[in-house]
Parts: sequence; C-alpha cells; structure tokens
Amino acid sequence: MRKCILRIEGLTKIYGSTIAVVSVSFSLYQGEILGVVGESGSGKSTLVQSLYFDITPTFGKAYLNEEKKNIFELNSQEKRKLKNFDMGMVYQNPYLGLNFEITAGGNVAEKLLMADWRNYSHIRNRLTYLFEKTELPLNRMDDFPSTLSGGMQQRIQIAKALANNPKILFLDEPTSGLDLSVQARFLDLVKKIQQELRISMILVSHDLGVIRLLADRVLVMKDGRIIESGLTDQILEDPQSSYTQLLVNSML
Amino acid sequence: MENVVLEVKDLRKKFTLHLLEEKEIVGFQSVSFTLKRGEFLGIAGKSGSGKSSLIKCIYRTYLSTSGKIIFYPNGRNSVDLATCLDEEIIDLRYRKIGHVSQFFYAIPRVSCLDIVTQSLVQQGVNIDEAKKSAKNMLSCLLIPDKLFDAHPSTFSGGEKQRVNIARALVKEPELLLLDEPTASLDKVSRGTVLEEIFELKKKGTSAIGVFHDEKELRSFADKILVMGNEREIKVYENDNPR
Repeated sequence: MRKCILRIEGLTKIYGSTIAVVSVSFSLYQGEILGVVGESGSGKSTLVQSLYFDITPTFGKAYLNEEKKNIFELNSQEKRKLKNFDMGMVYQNPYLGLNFEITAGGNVAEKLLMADWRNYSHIRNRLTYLFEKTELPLNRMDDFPSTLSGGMQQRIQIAKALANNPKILFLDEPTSGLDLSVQARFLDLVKKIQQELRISMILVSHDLGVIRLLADRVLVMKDGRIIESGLTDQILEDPQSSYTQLLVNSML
Repeated sequence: MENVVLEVKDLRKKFTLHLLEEKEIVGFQSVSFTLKRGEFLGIAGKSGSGKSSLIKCIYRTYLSTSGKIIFYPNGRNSVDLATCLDEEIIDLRYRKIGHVSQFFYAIPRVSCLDIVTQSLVQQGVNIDEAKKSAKNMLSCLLIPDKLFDAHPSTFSGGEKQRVNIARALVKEPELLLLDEPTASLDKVSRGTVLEEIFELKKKGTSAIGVFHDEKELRSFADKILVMGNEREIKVYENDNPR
C-alpha cells in the first residue's frame, strides 16, 4: 500500500452564517492525483485554500506523513515553513499566485529565497531547471508576468509551486482560463510531473473531462460536504448519489 | 486452489437511476466462475446481457451490488475486488491488472509511444527500457513506426484501438480484462491481437474477454461464460481450446 501523505479529519469552515465546508475527512496518498469536483460554491476552493493555510478553518485536523501533530495548530512560523518547503499551489487566477510587480524568474526565485536559498548562481541554475521542466522559454525569465500569455502564467505558477520539491501540490481550477490547445499541454505537464517527481496532488476542477484524464480518485462535493468518493472511472460511469448522476449526465 | 487467479461468487449488479424516479435496471444476475492461471475465459451473449458490466465490475469501474470477486495475485494476499479500498485497486491496476476498454481515453496531444510508455513507467520500469518495450509492442500490433510520435486523436478507429490494447498488453499483467477488444479491427489485425494475447497467456497471464461471437470464442477460449437472464447464464469448458 502507498504511504498516506496527508490525512484530513472533520475540516469545517464557517463564515458568519454561511457554512462553506462541513466536516470533510479524507486521505491523500503518495504520488496520486486526487480530484475534487462540484458546482461553484460547493466548498472546493475553501477546502484547498485551508490546506494551504490561506484560510483558517473553524474546526478540523490535518496530519502530514502519518505524523501525530495537527498542522492547523502549528504557529505561524511553522506553517510558513511547511508552506514553503512541503507544499505548492496553483491558483485559478494568476494574480493570486504571482506578484506582477516582479519578473517571472523573480516570482519563482522568491519561493526559493523563502526556503533559504542564498547563492545567486545556484538559484539561477534552479530557475533554468524549473523553466525547462515546465516548458517555459528561458528568454522570458526576466519578463514581467503581465507580458506573458495566460498559459505561461499558469506554468510560472507551477514552476514556483515546484521550486522546493514539495510533497503536495494543490491545483485550484488551473486550466479554467486557458484555451483548449494550451490546456492540453498543461494537462500533459501535470501528468509528467506526477510520474517523474511522484508528487501527490489535489486537483480542484468543475471540468469532468480534465478530472477524467488526470485524477486517480475523485471526491464529489455539494453544499460543503463530500457526498461521494471513488475511483475516477467509477464515479463517472457508475455514480451512486443522485447529485453525481445529475452531474455526470450533464457532461458534454 | 493455488492455481486459481480469480474466483467470482454470486456476483450481481443493478443500477438505480435516481433521476428517473429511482428506476432500477438489472446489469446482470448471479454470475459465478473460477479462472486459473494462464486460462482464457470468453464472455458471450446478446447486446445488453451484461457482458461489459461484468468486466467493469471486475475492474471496479462499476460497483458490484452483491457477491465477491476474489483475486489471488502472485506474491500478495488475496483481495476482494468488489469491496477493497480504492487505493488497493489503483495499485493493482498499475501493477497486476490490465484493461482494454471499448473507448479510448488519453490526454490530447500526447504521442502514442508516450501513452504506451507511461503504462510501464507507472509499473516502475525505467523510462528507456519502457520506451523500448513500448516500441516493440506497437510494432507487434502493426502500428507503423512513422505513427509513433503522432497523436492518437488523428488515428483511425482500428489504430486507436490497437494503441489501447498495446497500453494494456505491454505491462504483461497477471489478469487481463478485455471489453470487445477486436470489435473495430479488420481480420488481419484481429489475428495479430489474438496472437499477442496468446503470447502473454504462455507467460502466465489469465484473461477475461468479451467477444460478441460465441462461435469465434470456441476457436480459442478455454472456458466460455454465456450471459443472459438468470436461466440463461452458464459457464462451460471449451472442448477445443487453443
């Protein structure tokens, strides 16, 4: 059996009178891509953003690598360290994931600096490696993100997310703003990264086609709860709950 | 019992359609059989008799309604494919069970060589070796070299299906599940595909395959399972296997 990388228990997020995520529990295993599907407002993004410490959950526990310590109870310095060394995030909106005031290379280097990289030439070498890995043209390294295409911006987010060899990568609707030809290359890139680097990923998407091609397992969310989970092909071909049947039957 | 690879006991499948006022549809009724190492079980029966549903239950694309599917993999404990954890199924799919679906899914704009190579890489084979075996398998299935770096979305139906088959066969799985693998193939490539399956059989692979034609099955299967309504379901040994 594969190793459990992240285990979530009873994660709940309440905003005033709105309940965004209700008592969500699941495990993420070594090297797998776990899909999260559901309509807008079902709590998918709140879920991954909580795990990346962008949002503080109201209740719940999360454990990394079968350790005993609930990571939500760490102090802010320890959280920052986990975020910089063990996790990476790709947001739907590149403005959330990138700093548009600094260059593309600078954005990736920032993540390295936060993980205590200090030697300029080492950083430059690492940037070259990451740009090649994510199929970004090296001659655009010193350009500002605003001058790059949407697909390139998403790949810079990936390069940044991968900078410190994270154990977990969160992808929050990463292909929603991309046109089809760019999307196909992005999907292939994600799959290659999973296979070569054995990184575990949580992929949030409302696009069942994207989920079918990438995810091994899927969680279906509605009104903040997980209403169904299973192997991706099983969820798509033999959905059990009435909501998932509706979702799958609505697929193009 | 040590020769048994798969034991299916009183397996049933029905679907509940929540969107159609909880209508229930029977996939198939009580199926039982055992499969030994290196055996080929052919599944025959009319359209809609549940042949594909049975294959899908074994691969866990469908959740079985009741019954057991005990798999005895080499060097591991036996496991009930109907009820075991999703994680276990994923691992078995990577390492032990090959599957050829009726339809072909792959990430667009990935070359056919890469698709077949990835299937071995998932098994833990190093990339250079994987590439070599993948090329070999594609050639055996009569995919011309010049198509290796092309994207299967541009292929003909038969070529796509052969890439699909290559992806499953190249792993030399212990258990091979085939859902109408040769339906879209001409006579020559159909023969080639069957030859490759027999090669694997010699190496110990057990296979279960849906084929439309019971007569065709009689020319090579060790056992034949005929699907239908409860009275029609039967398993018999083929007198004249290959």
